[in-house]
Parts: sequence; C-alpha cells; structure tokens
Amino acid sequence: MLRYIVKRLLWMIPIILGVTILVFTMMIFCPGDPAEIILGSTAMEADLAAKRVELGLDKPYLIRLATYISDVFFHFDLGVSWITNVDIMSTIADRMPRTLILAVVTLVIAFGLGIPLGITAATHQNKWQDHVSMVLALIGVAIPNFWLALLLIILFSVKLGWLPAMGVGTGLAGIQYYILPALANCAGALANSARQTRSAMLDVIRADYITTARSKGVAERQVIIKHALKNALLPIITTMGISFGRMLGGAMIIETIFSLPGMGSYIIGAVNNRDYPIVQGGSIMLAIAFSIAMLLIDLLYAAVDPRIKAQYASSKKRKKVKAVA
Amino acid sequence: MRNTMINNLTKSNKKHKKQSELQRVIKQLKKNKIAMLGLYILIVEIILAALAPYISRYGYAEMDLTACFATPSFKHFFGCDDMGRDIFSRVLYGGRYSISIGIIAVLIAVVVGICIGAVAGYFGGQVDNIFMRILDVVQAIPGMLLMIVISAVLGPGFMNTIIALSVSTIPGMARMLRAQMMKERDSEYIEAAKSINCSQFSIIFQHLLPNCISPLIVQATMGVAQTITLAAGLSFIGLGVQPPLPEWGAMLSAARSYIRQSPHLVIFPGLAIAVTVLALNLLGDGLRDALDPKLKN
Amino acid sequence: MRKKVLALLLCAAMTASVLTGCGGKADNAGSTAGGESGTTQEASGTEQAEPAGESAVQETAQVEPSTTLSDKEVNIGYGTVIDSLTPFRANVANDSPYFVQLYETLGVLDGNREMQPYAAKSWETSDDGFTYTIEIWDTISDSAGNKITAADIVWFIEESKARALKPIFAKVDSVTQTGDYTLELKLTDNKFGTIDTILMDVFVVSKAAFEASSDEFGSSVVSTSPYVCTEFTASASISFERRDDYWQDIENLPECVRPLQKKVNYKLITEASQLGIALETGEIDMAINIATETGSQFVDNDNFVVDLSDGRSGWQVFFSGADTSPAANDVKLRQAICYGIDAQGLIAGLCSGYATQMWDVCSPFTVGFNENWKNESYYDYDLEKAKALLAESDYNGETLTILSSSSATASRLAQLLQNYLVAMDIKCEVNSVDMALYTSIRLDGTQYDMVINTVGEYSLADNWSIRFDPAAYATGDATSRHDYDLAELIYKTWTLDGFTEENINEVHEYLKESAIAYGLVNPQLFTVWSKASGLSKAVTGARRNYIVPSACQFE
Repeated sequence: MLRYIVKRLLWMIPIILGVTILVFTMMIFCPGDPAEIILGSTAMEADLAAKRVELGLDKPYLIRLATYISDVFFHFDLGVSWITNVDIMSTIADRMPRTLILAVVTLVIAFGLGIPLGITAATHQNKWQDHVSMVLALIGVAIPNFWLALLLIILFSVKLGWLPAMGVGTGLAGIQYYILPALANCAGALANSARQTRSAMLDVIRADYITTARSKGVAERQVIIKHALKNALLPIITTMGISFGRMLGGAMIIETIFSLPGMGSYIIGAVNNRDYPIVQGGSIMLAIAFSIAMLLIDLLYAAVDPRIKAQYASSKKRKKVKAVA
Repeated sequence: MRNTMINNLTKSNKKHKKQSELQRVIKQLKKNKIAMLGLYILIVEIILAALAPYISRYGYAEMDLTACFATPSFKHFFGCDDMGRDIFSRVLYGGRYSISIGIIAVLIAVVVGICIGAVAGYFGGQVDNIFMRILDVVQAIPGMLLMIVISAVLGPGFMNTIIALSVSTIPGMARMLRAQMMKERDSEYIEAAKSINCSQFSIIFQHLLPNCISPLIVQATMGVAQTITLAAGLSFIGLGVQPPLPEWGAMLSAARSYIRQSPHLVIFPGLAIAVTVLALNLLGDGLRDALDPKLKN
Repeated sequence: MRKKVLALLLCAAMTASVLTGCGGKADNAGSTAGGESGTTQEASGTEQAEPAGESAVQETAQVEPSTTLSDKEVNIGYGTVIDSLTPFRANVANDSPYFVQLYETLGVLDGNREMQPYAAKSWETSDDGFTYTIEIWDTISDSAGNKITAADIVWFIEESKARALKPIFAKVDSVTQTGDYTLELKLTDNKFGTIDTILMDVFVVSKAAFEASSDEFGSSVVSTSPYVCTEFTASASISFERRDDYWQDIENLPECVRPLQKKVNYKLITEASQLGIALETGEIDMAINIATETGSQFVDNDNFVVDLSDGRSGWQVFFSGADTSPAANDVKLRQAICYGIDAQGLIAGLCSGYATQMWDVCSPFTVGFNENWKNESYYDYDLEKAKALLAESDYNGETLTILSSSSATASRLAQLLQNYLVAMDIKCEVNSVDMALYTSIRLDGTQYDMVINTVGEYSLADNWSIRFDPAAYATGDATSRHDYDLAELIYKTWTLDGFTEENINEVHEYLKESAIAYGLVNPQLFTVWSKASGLSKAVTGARRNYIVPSACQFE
C-alpha cells in the first residue's frame, strides 16, 4: 500500500511538469504586452522596453521556460507577481485554504442533498417520487451559477438576513461566509451525485443479497441504508472525486461574486493583467491539489472496498512474477 | 470468396443488430414521457430560433432609447433592456447563438475525443500510455481555468469561444470512449473481424465504435447543456461572443446589475437558459436509461 | 403519466415563483425600483437627480472644518481591490480612498483641487519649474517610532525611479538631500502638473522600516499616517485604526486628511450589485464611487443619501490616425460621425440619465478646462447635417471597426455608438476585447477605426501628451497619427508659463475642428451613504476628489 502511494506521488512529478510547460506556453501566446499593462496607458516607449528587459521578456522562449522550471522544481520558488511584487507562494498559502474550504462545504451540501434524492429516486423507480427528485436535482444545474448566486443573496442576505453576502470571516464562525457561495456552487455536483446514487442504487437493489436480506425480514430502511447504500458507495465516491477536482478551479465566478479571495479570483485577475507568474504558479498549485485529491479518492476506494485493496497487492505480486520470468 | 461471404454475413448481422438496438432505444425513449417532453421543448426552441426573423418585430440590435427598461407589454412581450432593445427578439435570436455554441462545441469535443479515445483504447500499450499521460496533464488543470486561458489566447468571437469551450470537454469524452473500447476490443465479433483481415480503420470505426458510442451520446447531450451555462460564465468574465450578439449568457451577464430594479432583464434570458438546459438534461437522462442494458426491465 | 407532467409543471412553477418572487420582493425594498424605468424614459434623470445630490452638498458646505477626534467607526464599501500594500506600485487603483489612510504624501489636493502641503512644509522653484527645493516637517515619525528625514524621501524617489512602476518618476532627473529636512528635485521637463503629480505620488516611508519588512510592506505597513493598518486581507478588506502618537497637530492638516474617525474599515467588493446589497444590509455605511446601475437604486430612498458629482474622466472616442483607416484623413467623415451621435441618447442609454454631455475631449474636472467651453456648441446632434457631411466625405461603404474594452460601460457605449452610425448608414462592427488585449492594441491605429477610451489625467497638458503627441510612441500618437501642427500647439502648453488660457484654447479649437477625438458622455459619480450613519459633512479631497471617510463629520 505504501509503495503504491509513493509510486503515485512520484507519478505526480511528470504531470506537474507537463502542466507547467503547457500553461507557460499558452501564456506566451496570450495577446497583450505585460510591460504595457503594468506601466499603464501613460507609459512611454523607453520605459516599456526597459520593463520588458526587467521581466525577461526579451529572452528566447526556451531559456525562459528552463529558468522557470528550475526555479519551481529545484528552488520551490514560484516567483513574485509582476504587478504587485508580492511573493506568490505566500499569497497562495493564504488563498488556497479558502478555496479548499469552499470546495469541502460545497461537497457536503451537494452530497448531503444529492444522496437522499438519489435514494428516493431509486427506491421509487419510475414513480412520481423518482421524477420529482431528479427534476429537483436538475433545477440547480439549469440555472447559471452567478444568477443563482444573486438570487440566493437577495433571499438569504437581504430579505431574511440569515447569512452574510460577501467577504470572509475567521475561526469557526467564518464557515457561515462559505454557505451561500457553496449553495450557489453546488448545483452541478448535486445533480451528479443524485444521478450517480440513483443508478448505483438501482444496480445494487436487484442483487441477490438484498433480496435475501428482505426475505429475512430486515426492515426496508435497514436494507436500503445498511446493505444497498454501502455497496453503492464506490461509484458515488468516484463522482465525489470528480466534483472536487472541478470545484478547485470552477469556483472562479462564485469567488468573484462573493468577494471571496480564493484561488479562482486570484487567477482570473492575473489572466486579465497578464501576470504570467501568478497564472503559472496558481495552475501548478491547483494541479498538485487536484492530483493529491485524486490519490485520496483512490485510497478511499481501498478503504471502502477490500477487493480493490487486494488488487494493489496482487498487481504487485504479478509484477514480481513477471520480473522473475 | 469465403472471406467476403463471412464478411457480408457479419455485416448484415451487425446491421440487423444495430437497427433493432436503435429501435429498442427509440421505443424505450418514447415510453419515457419526461424525456420526450425535453425533446419536444428542444425541437420547439430550435424552430423558434430558426424562424426568429419572421416572428420578432424588431432586430436584435435595434435600439429605441426612449424605451430603455420598458416593462413587458403588448408592444414588447418581454420588455426592453437597458439600451431599449426588445428582449423578446433578443431571446429568440439568442437561441441561434447559444444553442449552436453548445452543439458545435460538443461536436468538436466528441470528434476529437473519439479519435483520441478510439486510437488509445484500441491499440493500448505505449500509444495508450502517451495519450493518457497527455490527458492527465490537461485534466490536472481545472477546466474553467483552461477555458479562460484559451479564451484569452484566442481573443473574443463566436468561433473562438466555441473552441475554448470544447477543449476542456475533450479529455472526458476521450477517456469514456477508451474505457468502452477496452471493454469491447476483446469481444468475439472483433476477433472475427480481425480473423478475416479487416483493416484496423474499419475495425475501429465500423465495428467497435458503434458498440461503444452509447455512453458518449448521453455525455454529449448533457455536455451541450453544460456548455451553454459555461458560455454564460465566460461572458461573466468579459470573454465570449462579441456584442451586440444576443447570446443568452452574455445577455444575462450584462444585465445582472439590474436584477433588483428591472428583473425582467435577467429573468427572460435566464429562463431561456434554464429551460434549455433542463430539457437537454431530461433528454440525456432518458437516453441514459434507454441505452443502459441493466435497466432494460 | 399525468402525474409526471404535473410534477414537472409544479417544479417549473416553483422555479418561476422563486425567480419572480425575488424580483417582486426587490421592488418593495428598493424604493426606486418601480419608478426607475419612468425616470429613464424621459431622459430627464439628471434634472431629477441633481437636486438630491446638490442639496446634500449644499447642506454640508457651511459646516466649519472640525478638529474634534471622534470615537466613530465607519464601514466603507469600495469596488477596486488591491493585492498588496507596498508603497512601490503602478498607477493601478491609485485613486482608491484607502490610500489616504495608508500613506502620507508630500502634498495633497484639497476639496477645491488646490495643492496643499502635507508631509512637506513647502516647496518652491527657482528656475521656472525645472528645479524644486522641498522642505519637509522636522517632526515626522512613523508608527514604529522611526524619525523621517530628507534621506528617506530621497531614497523613496530614487527607488521609485529605479523600479519604473509609475511613469511620472521617469521625469525625475535627479534628487539630492541638501539638509536634514530639505532636498532638491531636478525634473526633466517643467510641464504644468508634473511637480503636483510627484508630490502626490511620493509616499512618506522610513527606509529602515521598509528594509526591515520581510515582504516590502506587502501585508503589513509601517507608515507615518495618522492611521495604522490593523487588518488586510488581499482583495477583500482593509481596516485602519487611528494611532495616538501621530506626529502632526490636527490644525495643521488640510481638512481632507484629518483623522476624525477612530476606525475606518474598507470592504473591497468588485461586484457592483453586491456593493448595493452591502449598503442595504447595513454591512457598510457608505459606498464610494458605486456603479450607476446600482447607485441609481438609492435615489429617492429615504434611508439613504445619494451624492452625485460630475465624472472625473468622461468617455471619448478617438479616430484612428493610421492611413489604413478611412477616418484617418477624412475630416468630413469624422465630423459627420460627431454630429450623428446624440449625447442625450448616450446619457439615457448608458447612464439612465445620470450623466452630462461633454464640451471637449477632456472632462471639466481636468485642470485647465475652460468653463466658457460649456457655452459653445460641441457637435450638437443633427442627423441631417451628419448625413450631408457624410455625402461630402470620401466614405464609400467601408465597415468601420469600433474598438472597446469588454468592461460593461465601454462595451455598452460601443454598442450605442454602433447604433448611431448604422442610423446614418455607416457600416460598423464592434470589437470588444478584454482589458489586456485592449491595452496592447489601442495604440495601433491599423487595428481599428475608432477606439473608445476614458482618459482622465491630472491636467489637460498630461492628457494631450499621452494622447496626441506624435513622438510619444513608436507608432506615433496614441492612435498612430502624426499631426505635427497639433503637436506644435500642444508643446506650447507644456511649460509652466505656456499653460495659458490662450494656448489651451488653441488646442481645444484645433481638436474640435479636426474632430480627431470627440468627448461623448460624462457619467456622474455616485457615492451613497445611509442616513443612519449620521454623516453631517462630506469632506472631499485627494487625487480624484472623492469623499474621504476618515475626514467626514458625523453627528
């Protein structure tokens, strides 16, 4: 198991390297001269030229790329923002937790609502409960999230005054600042989790052991939760992993609307300002977070399903056999 | 001689199987009234968008500065926006852009996804490895970020927006097809096709693909819906189609500051998106049920 | 089956009711919501709105400057965010009101737009504006107890010049310390306004404190300001508390920088509608410089005071000067377009009536603007004349491209312009691009025929130098034009004694006749505060003459 984790962590290196090269290269093709954006509309030609030299924009692409990669991978230095000169790593250390908290709160809401909806739909397949649950799960998806965000703010902050409409707070009470953004952000994950739960439950419900459990006179509630749901968890976890990955970068608009200073609004601002180091550094850190999340999901698999754990072991054995052969 | 006979035989067999499968799916789908409702809504929307010039009395860019923020009335069914443009006309014309952005972007993603997924899934081994590692890299970048950066690189405009929207959808499509391919490629009929020296191209695209495509169809239907909302997100950031093109997302995003004083500016384009996305999702869900052999009974 | 359809309908109805419900409720709260469309339809919004704003100003105008330090805590909403507090910064966001509390400057503009000494005691020139002797107060100390001497100021100016973030410091030829509290500043030109801008851009910072900071004051600041920054969350909030050991007597300070409030907290909210919501929920007491769409909601609302003032920059259209454009050398075409644009229509369509027309390329706020221009006609809307001029011009059905940034106001303005051009049978397309792309192509006249911009430098001389000086950029002036006749006129205004009404008028007339640029519309600025906050005198000042919350008087 440990070997598997180490192997997966090592696999991350080429992926992150790939992300670095890809984002670095894409930014090169971005129209817009960073020097001009930094110095503003009143800058004269000579200042601009000096600025370009200072930023290293006059050097050839490969040299810039090599310098950047060596900075990132050997010195763990993401550089400083071109516009504000602030260290990017420390800014990300401030902002990343907010994005992660938002993602977690969003997942809790999405799956907290989605799984019961999915179960209801599955246990009443093709009855009205099925259709109502699925349509309910879909309504959120159908509304563009920034529009949903504005509606939620008007309802919960302005009319009812229950939740803050913007900003961040500190401590445990700070969680309340994440609730509205998470509600506005959860629609996609909610629909996916409800769908996935429904189809996974439908698969399981027909299985023999469920029939057996029922015939033994186990209460229906027990059958559904203890026997069926437990066995349907695997695909639900997969969905959760995919949703989490999406949320890391997908909350950009939500963060902007709710004045939540997370990774998304940081990177959007940087793209608009052509602040290359932030876009590159931000993407790298998000990619690392994404890869780690995927690894955790896989480990969670193993925890839920002993068969998968066995597979890791057997594949190791198989390889050994191969090596011997 | 014998070979061609077998070939013909398998072909006709397959054809027969394919047809009955298609008929079964349609039959199944027809039974699902909610999915059919989604389909009907879409058909009506497409017809309305196509006939927009004949239905609406105003052009989508036509301004009447004496009618800014006019509320819905008989003259302007959905009222007027901040620059006195008829919202009804804009929503009708907007259907052309929004729906076609969704469909074209997904078509591009499907075609590219099929090519990558089919090649990787069929050949496996090193080829598969290379493709999958590239996809790993692309997928490790959050989709929205990738979309924004590509949008910024390409600049604004209808076609550029479509490309930006399609790129982040490709990996999902490719992976899905690859998984199906791997499942199917060891099947007996493929063995049979191989044994009679069918070309690899024909094995992949004539024999394997039709049997792997069904999850992709579902994914694509949902993808169109997702793309329409993503396009709205791009407009929010200031990328996306050029004004005054009445893409629904752009309308919604431009009018969002008026949500309190003049809610009709956001309600109608918002409803247009909501209804379309809902319809596509209902249809997609129906297709999924119809195509899923496990749910046959 | 009927059940299913019913369920679906039910859901649809629910969605609809949620949506319309919210809208309906909004009507009750926003007092102007219903009447808003009426106001704008008549395009008389300005007339209705102005008294409200003016009365607020008039009421407070007679209140004497106060020296009473109150225990008041005020919460302010503002729409421009910053990521760092560092004193070495580009011009981005430099007009934000929190900079007044963050750093002291050598000089500051008061509410009458006159330069007042602040950290500097005095400054004078011996050679008509090329060399300045500046004396600073000998009592300045920062919140960490560091004494400030002329050496710190010299260091700051040299460092700013080296970092080249603000173009104005490129005009510093040299700076030398001549005494403990005096320094000599040599400039490369003696253009009107150069020294003023430098005085406003030199933050008073102790070199020792700056070098002791681990992140160059990025997240926490030691400054000489009467306020200490107690909290800063990048892009979200910034809070200040008055310090007890401030070096200056309150009486010696210009009114706009007096630290009357105990605490000033800024919430940085980029989404305009969210600023309005923060006002409504009481999260903030005042929103400074709020967008028209949101600010206009509060007009006629009894719980809020709306302060309207003329826009600082206004919006202009500049015609391309590159030979590839049909507009470059065709004065008739340009004039036709100017006549064909209805300023009143722009006021209604762009700003719901909360705007004024313009009388020059620059707004009346710009230093050097001649009030007499307001009595002249400035291409008053005349479609017949426009069409006649168009017929005389060489325009031959080419499609003209309007370049604008994709910001809400700019792209809407571009669409309105397109509408007017189409009305006089000129083919026209809008190219609305993100800010970075816009910045990179706006100087290249081959990329557009007309470009929409909002230019608001300190003085007319500054505006003209960045827009119309053919020597300014590699491609010529800011639209790739090489008009040396105009340049001659502009250069004449570039010295301290050349910045005269006569010389300025000549440039104004030339620009108007040639119509190479045209002032379109000047949206009014909205500042809104709640009546409950008890504000009794709104004090304005600093770079853009916004309301300075720390200096306002409250009951």
